[in-house]
Formats: sequence, structure tokens, C-alpha cells
Amino acid sequence: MILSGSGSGGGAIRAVTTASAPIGASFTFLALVTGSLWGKPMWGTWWVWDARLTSELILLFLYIGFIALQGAIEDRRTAARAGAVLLLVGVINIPIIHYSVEWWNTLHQGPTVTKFDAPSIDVRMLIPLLLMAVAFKLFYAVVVLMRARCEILQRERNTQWVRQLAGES
Amino acid sequence: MTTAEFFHMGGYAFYVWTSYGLTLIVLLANVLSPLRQRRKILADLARRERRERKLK
Repeated sequence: MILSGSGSGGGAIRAVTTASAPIGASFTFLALVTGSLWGKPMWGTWWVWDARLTSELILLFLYIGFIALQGAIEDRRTAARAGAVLLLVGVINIPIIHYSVEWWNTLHQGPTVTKFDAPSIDVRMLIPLLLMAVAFKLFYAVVVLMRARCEILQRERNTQWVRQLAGES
Repeated sequence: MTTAEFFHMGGYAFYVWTSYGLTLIVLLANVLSPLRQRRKILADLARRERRERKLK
């Protein structure tokens, strides 16, 4: 099982997986809160139990559950394995979120960017949207490396190079 | 467009600037948290090192 990192090189994957969870949770939190701030003036309500909103909220809970699970299990290997199982379950939610606006006809509008026709979103909104999407992905790349670095320091704390690094600080 | 008009955001100032503010806080926290964690790990390790040296 690659995600639990039992094979060689699995340690790096495990560090990245663990490091990704808090970032994913922050981004999902922002999507929900800013979406709600947009919904109030545009839809006239902060929140409805619409399919897209609900599945996005479940995503946030999955992230929080993953972080809590990792924190609750002392042994890092066991924690990674348990986390990987939760992750496999959580992945089911991703296509549900994506297709929720097509499968259920509720308040949330249909797709405006990811569809086969030309995007129906206005080009003055499309450009900043895509730009920000790229910017957030780059931000994720930076922060995930910063966090993975801490994970590796913890794991390698008994090695010579980490001792040396700690001695210099 | 005047500066005041810009900040007014066509009447949606509260929604727009709250979104920006929250995003800024969350992004900053994401950068600061691993930096602080790294400092803490290294400080803990340095302390352990000193203690071990004293015991020897």
C-alpha cells in the first residue's frame, strides 16, 4: 500500500500525505466561508443544505478526521496505515462534489468552467480565476514542502545530520 | 473610479473584504505554522543534546 508508506520511498509519500491534510483543510474552510460570504448577497442566504455545499462540508470533516486520526495514534506507521484507509474512503467524495451540481438540481449553479463547451463564465472573471487557481496550487507546493521538511526532521531526529543541524541552531 | 469607490466595492465591501481578510489570515497561518514547528523541533533536539552531554 503506497499511501501507508511501507515500501521504499514510502516515507516521503507519507510525509507529503500528512503535510497535505492541514493545507487541504484550510483551503476547504476558505471555500466554504468565502462561498457563504458570496451566497449571502447573491443567493440571499449564508447556507443551504444543497448537494454541493453539503459534500464540500463533508470534505472538510474528512480532512479534520484524517488529522485527528493521525494525531490519535502514537505509532507513526500504524497512523499512516489508518490514515490511508480513511483517505481511500474520502476519495469517493471527490467525484460526488464535482458532479453534485449536475446530479442534484438545487441552489448551486451548474458548472461554468469545467465542461465540454466553451466556458460560460465571462472572460474578465475566467482569467483572474485561473490565475488564482494556479497561484493557490503553487502556494500548496511551497507549504507542503515546508511541512514535509518538519515531518522528516522529526522522523530522522536520531541521525547525525539532524543532530548537527540542531547543534547549529 | 475614486479610492473610496474602490473600497466600497459597489456596496459589497463587507463581503469582499471579509473574504480577503480571512484568506490572508489562513494563508499566513499556513506559512508561519511550519516555520514555528521547525524552530521548535530543532530547539527540542538541541536541548536533548545538551542534557545527554551533561549525563556523560
